[in-house]
Amino acid sequence: MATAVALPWHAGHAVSEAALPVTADPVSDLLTREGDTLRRVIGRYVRHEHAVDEIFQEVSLKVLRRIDSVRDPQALRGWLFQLARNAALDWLRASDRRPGGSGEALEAQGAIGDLGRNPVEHLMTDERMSAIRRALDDLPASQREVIRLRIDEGLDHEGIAARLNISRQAVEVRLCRGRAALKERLDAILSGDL
Amino acid sequence: MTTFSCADAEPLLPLVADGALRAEDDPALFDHLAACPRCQDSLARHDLVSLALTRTAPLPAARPRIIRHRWWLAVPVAAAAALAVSVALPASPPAPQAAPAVAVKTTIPPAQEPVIIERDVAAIPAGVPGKRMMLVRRGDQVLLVDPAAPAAEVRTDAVPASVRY
Repeated sequence: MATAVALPWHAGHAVSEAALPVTADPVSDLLTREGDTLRRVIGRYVRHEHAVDEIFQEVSLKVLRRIDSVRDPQALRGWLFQLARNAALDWLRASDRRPGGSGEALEAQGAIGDLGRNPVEHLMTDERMSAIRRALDDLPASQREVIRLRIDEGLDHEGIAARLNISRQAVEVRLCRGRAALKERLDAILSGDL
Repeated sequence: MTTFSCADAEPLLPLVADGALRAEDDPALFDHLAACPRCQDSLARHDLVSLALTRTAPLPAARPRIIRHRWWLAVPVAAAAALAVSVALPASPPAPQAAPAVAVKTTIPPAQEPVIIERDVAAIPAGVPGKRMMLVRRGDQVLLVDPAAPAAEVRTDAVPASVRY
């Protein structure tokens, strides 16, 4: 049984369980209840158990800091999902920037704690990532341009609409179609058709 | 809240991956995503596309180091534990108010540098200003530990402790 007790610094003090600094509150309950679900979400993105642990810790702290921003209890589960996914993606981006942190080197690794499935991290080989980028060139120019303005210049949808003198709705249609086509290409790559 | 089906959700996943559609924009969609493994898989692939599109040349290491056993305590506790603690601490610990009752040997690394400690006891020095709550996990249980007490010790009776801050 885990306990957290006050440890007096002064000589002669006995450890007192009466001074438990544990806060039993709804956030603790929430993290306990949703912990496995959050770990499964994170596990879709990262490969190793230790990384899942690390990201879960970050998510837990964010829950603690931001829980008050959730006004609608019915929105809580989706909010937790978003936190876990965003944290996993941040971890992957940082890992990908680290030399040898992803791609082929990671693909070749075998390590204790490997989740043994196919999380995104496992799929991030240099070859696949390059193939997806090349697939961008095969999109219709209108879709490709919207995606490039979004990715390379960081414009939001309104900004892209202004740049191209089209409606925001048209931007989102092109963006969705282009991204969906790239995802279909990825599906084909992963299924071995390409 | 509107109930979503996978067929409803799928066309919106590119916008989720794009970052244009967030939980606060469409709680019903994200509630569905949180519960649907199929849509989670599909979104993960959209996210992989995003990662590929935003990938740039590798940069020097940017992630914080993980150091083992930089912060340790010589506190005699027979029970071993399996727990993880997450806590933010400032750069340096305060001086103890008096001689500790037990032998304590502590090295606090610079702030933001995570540390994993694999021991049976985790102790947080007293009176550290600006610190936040600790998260202690053991198995399925997550506890919030308030280190505002003069000093906090966390211990369990299982296998070695893992402490991160």
